[in-house]
Amino acid sequence: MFVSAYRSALESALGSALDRVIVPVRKMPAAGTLSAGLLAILLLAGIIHIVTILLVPHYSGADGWSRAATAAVKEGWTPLVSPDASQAALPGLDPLFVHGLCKVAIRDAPAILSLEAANKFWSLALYNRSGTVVFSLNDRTAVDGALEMLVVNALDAERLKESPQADLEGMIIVESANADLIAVLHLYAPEPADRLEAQTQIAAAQCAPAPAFTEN
Amino acid sequence: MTLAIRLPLTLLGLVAAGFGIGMGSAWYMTQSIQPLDAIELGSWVASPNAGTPDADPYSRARLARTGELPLGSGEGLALVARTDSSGRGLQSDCIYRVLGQTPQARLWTLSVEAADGRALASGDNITAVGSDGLFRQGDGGLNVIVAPTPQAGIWLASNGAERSDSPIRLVARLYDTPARTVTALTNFVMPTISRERCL
Repeated sequence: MFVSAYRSALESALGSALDRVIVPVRKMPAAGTLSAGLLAILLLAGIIHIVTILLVPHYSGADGWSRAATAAVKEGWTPLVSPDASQAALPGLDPLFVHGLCKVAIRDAPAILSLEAANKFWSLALYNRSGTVVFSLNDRTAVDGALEMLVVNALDAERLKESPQADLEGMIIVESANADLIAVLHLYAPEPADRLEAQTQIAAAQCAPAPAFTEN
Repeated sequence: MTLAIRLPLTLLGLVAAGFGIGMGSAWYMTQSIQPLDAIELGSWVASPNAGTPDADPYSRARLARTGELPLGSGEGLALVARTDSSGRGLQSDCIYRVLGQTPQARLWTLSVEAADGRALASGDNITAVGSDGLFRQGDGGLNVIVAPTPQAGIWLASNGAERSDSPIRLVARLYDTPARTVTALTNFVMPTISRERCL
């Protein structure tokens, strides 16, 4: 039974091969068919092009977010003191600065970010997964050059509006729809002494989950 | 029978060609160094929309590949020069004079880097200056020399490149600047980069 099935399959395969050999030379496809084919190729290419461009940021393992997330190894701020360390973590960082990276998760609790650095320029940006800046500021925008920031999700922002917390006065409140953020801190430190100072300042800086809000 | 073979083959060819062209052109677009929404001032190129929700998809894809996190609007703006003022590519074996006024910013830095943004291994020679550590010319303008060998004046060393004639880039990072807004950017001036000679 198997043999006969095999034989008939073989015959049909051979038959089709014979068909192909015997078929006379076909005439060239009409111009209409050709242009329809080209149009189909172009349309498909266009769709693939757009989809690829839109998907690259999601599937690139070497985008800014992924690199920063890999480099932010510590709880709290991970300092990048030397230009080489900065370079290894993220390309395009200013060599005259000391940088700090911190993963900020605000799904369950607000996050508190603080820094005391009054005498030199510094700036901070919060990035979401797609590398978009959610919020950024510099030492002039902050009060007295000191940073006191609370990053909250939409639910906590709502709670804050309903029952303002007394101990949050003077804090910068940032609301974000993204549960996971990365904070990047830049401290201007052109001289070796400045680098040491910036390193101390980052070590003393805070980046941690805040205690949940108390009900008034 | 032949049609039954030819049709799938033709379709397969069409699909393959479509995928090939589509992905090839997408790859080409992300390889291009210049962002689409860039603003040019002489040799200097900035992308104020990078990192904002207004960034176009091509710039996003390009950034995802280079791995940079652009400065936020509250921080500053980076301007990158890859050519001198007459359009020739910057090379590590040439002497360049960066001369002229700088835009309004509380602080800015100028650094010489490898073409891909990597730091140059210049040893003890400096590759970056900040605006607070500079002696300005009489008119308040900038006068910096980029060269592989020591020069009089403010000298940024380009000797640490991979090869002696590697392509390099100059990056001016402006901090706390009104230059983020496109209208201000189109009005402001950046220093010229003139090639004096090559070694």
